[in-house]
Amino acid sequence: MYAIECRNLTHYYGRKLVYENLSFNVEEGKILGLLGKNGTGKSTTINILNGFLQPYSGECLIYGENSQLLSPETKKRIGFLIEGHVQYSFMNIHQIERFYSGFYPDWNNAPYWELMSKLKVTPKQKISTMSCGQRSQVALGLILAQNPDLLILDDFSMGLDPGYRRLFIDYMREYAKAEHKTVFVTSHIIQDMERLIDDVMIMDYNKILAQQPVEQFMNTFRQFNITLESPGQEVLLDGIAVNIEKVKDKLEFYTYSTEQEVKAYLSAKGVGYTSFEEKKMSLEDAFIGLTRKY
Amino acid sequence: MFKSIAYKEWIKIRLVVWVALGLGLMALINIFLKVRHDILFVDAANYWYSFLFRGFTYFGILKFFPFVAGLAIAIAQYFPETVNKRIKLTFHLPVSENGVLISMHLFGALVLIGVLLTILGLFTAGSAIFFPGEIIRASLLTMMPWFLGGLATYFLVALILLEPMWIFRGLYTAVAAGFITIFLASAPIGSFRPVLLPLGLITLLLAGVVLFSGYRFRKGEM
Amino acid sequence: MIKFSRYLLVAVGILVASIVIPSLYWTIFEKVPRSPNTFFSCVTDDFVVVEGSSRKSPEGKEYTNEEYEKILPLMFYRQLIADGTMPDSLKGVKLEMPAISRASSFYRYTPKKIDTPVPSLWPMFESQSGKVNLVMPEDYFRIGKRMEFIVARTNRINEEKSVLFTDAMTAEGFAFPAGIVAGLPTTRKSCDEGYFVTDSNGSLFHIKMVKGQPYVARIETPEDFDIVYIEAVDIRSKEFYCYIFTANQGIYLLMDEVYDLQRLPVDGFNPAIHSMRVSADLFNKSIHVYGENWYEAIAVDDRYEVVGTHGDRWENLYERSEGKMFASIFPFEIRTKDDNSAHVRFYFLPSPGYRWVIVNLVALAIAFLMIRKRGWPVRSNIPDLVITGLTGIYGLIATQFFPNKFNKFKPPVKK
Repeated sequence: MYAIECRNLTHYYGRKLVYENLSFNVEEGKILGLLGKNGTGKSTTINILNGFLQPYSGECLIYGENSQLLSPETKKRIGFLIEGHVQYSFMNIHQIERFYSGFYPDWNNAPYWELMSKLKVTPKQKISTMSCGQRSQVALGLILAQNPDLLILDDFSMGLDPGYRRLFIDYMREYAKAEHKTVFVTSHIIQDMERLIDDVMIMDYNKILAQQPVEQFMNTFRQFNITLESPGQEVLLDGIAVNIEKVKDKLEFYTYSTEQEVKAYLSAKGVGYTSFEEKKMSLEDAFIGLTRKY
Repeated sequence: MFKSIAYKEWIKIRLVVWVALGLGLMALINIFLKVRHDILFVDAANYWYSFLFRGFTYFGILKFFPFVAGLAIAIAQYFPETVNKRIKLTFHLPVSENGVLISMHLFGALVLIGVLLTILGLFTAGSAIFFPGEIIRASLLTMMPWFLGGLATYFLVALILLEPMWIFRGLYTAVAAGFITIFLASAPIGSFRPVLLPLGLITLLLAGVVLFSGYRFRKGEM
Repeated sequence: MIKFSRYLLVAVGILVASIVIPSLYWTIFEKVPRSPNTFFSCVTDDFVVVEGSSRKSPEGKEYTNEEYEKILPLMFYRQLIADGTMPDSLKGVKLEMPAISRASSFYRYTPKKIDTPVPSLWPMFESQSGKVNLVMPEDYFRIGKRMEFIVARTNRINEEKSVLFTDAMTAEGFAFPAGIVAGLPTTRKSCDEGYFVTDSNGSLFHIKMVKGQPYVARIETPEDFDIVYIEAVDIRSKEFYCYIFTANQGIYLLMDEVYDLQRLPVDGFNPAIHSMRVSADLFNKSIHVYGENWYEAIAVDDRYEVVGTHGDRWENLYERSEGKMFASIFPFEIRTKDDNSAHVRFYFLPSPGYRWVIVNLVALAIAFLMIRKRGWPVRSNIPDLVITGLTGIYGLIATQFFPNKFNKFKPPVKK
């Protein structure tokens, strides 16, 4: 059963193509990370999912409903964290809790107050005067109190210092797994992300580069560091090579193939080398390897 | 649900509402202190005369009050929604998107109408001390376009603020300025009477145009 | 609902554009129209036509400045006396200063006077106080279900006076409430003659206060005498009380004391659109009736017999070059104010002719091209095209200000 099904999404801004025929699903109970550099369409996807953007063609279904025409019942099941932890910052933490509680019959304020008790804010302090980290806790607490089945978190790590980011991630993972929640999260900061997500979807301009369980991706996507015999040797980006970064005689070779296959590929191309080793990658390394540095 | 929406809207606008009411009351106090003073000095009969036959209006300082109140309440209510596109949160609430916008708008409009009617009511009560029904009716008739204009201002400023694209905000502002000017045109006492019905009707219909901006936002204009 | 919102905004846009743009146009391009004027000479017993610096007889004979002053001695008597050329008598009448000034009067009627908010409270002066100066009364009256006097200082009704006047009116057969109330509510007049009031049956009454007592007189009028406007005047000759305009295009004078009605020899006067000027001197009255681009002057003697007529017409607004240009650009304009009314309304003024059709077609073509350029389907934009076709520039502006975003963007065609 899928919480989110997006089919053949195509969108343009003016005449600029964002992506074409993008399809993906998010299984219930899974945590999917949509990763991509800035401007690759992460926010576009989030906006389409939340009904703030009508795609040129294709559609997203959330619990079987078109995201453009979500019923209040379905919206009740979706928790939405806006990029930058935007909230009604003209309210204080009591007012905002009172406001939201009126919309959700199953409102459970215990986790909210638990989080708030850890914040060093005064009861009448407006959210607008809080730090980014504190605001993220308010936004998170509200979502937890709403107790939705699907959480859509748009670039939650933006503006958070490492401590808060780690806190957020660990809390979210534990909560999602314990309560069998589905999470759709986007980020352009990959650090720590492997602690959170089950599946990864990596987006580049106009296309999806990878979409698979994060473990599978980490196991099959490899980096080989190769020292070439002659620095002038050209290695073309084709066949099994997904990405090649070359600095003088040092070559970073990214591929989904095994060591044997790469060696066979190189000898077939007549590329001589003096050293050849596989490098262990973090998710961030793999992301950069896949999407290139520039 | 409406209670929660009203609660949020009230937090945004309450300061502006109290300030507007305070300013309106100060204007009324000023008006009637001056009327009392002038009647003592020039005699009531002459004071009536200047209203009936000279076109003198003793309530001129109220002319821009509804406009300012409508503008201020609309800004206080909708500007915070546009910062960081916060209106997304509102549209994400488990209520129909148009429903939530209509509720917000209805609440704001009702509060504005409440402020305006309070001032009008106190004005009428104060006038009744000094003037006969004819003068009060003519006064209210003269002020009616100003008060309708205040309401129209509220509706149009909401449209402008929620519009996602700056260029269109500018264009809407041009049209709104031209339209509001009609209400505030200087004209003799009571001369707006034939046009009040069409103006009132258009104003009433304008209550819904905020949905146009809301729709444009939801369809991803930017 | 949302689509309706957009069409409403487009309609408001058209309204604003059709008010603002023409007003800007006229401010820039409108030229002063011709405004010929005439005076009736008691010397030549004919009109003198004045336009700019030229003074002519109706036959075209030019007058010098001296001749001009000489043939209008009652107008320029002070100049003529200073020059020593003032005749002693004319037509066997001695020309004496007091008589000349007593006989001269001027009255002006404009359609604004019947289309204006009217006050419903009036001051009743004491018309025979025995004093030279009139005194502002302390109360004002209204005539509703009865006649009531409200004392301004206390803002309360003077019951005694109200009953007194109401009874006097009832005795004369006045049917409450009043229709038209006409008087001169000012102390700056030579004497007070009270008010001329129509009752709910349309009958005419004269009501004034004489030594604190009501004076009420029913004035006999012919049948079908449907009064639309009365204006009281204070002329020094005391020849008549007021001008009365009736629905059947008659203009009457209500003569002093006797309440006789004297019809002015003017036909086809429509008080809603025509203006009138009456200037009187010792021998004649000249009545000028003005339309939008014409006037008709009628001179009468002291028995209201016509002694001369003269008329002229000039190009109206849309016959002049700036008006022709306007009518070939804009299909119509809307004004909130009108020369013939003091009321604010939406005055819809269609441009005469159909020369604006070309500009409307150009606007339509532009609208069409913009729809194509944006890749919008033409079918769902037909209402916009119809609006632009009908309202021209205004519709083009309004539909672009509030664009039709209910259709999907069409992507560029792939190679």
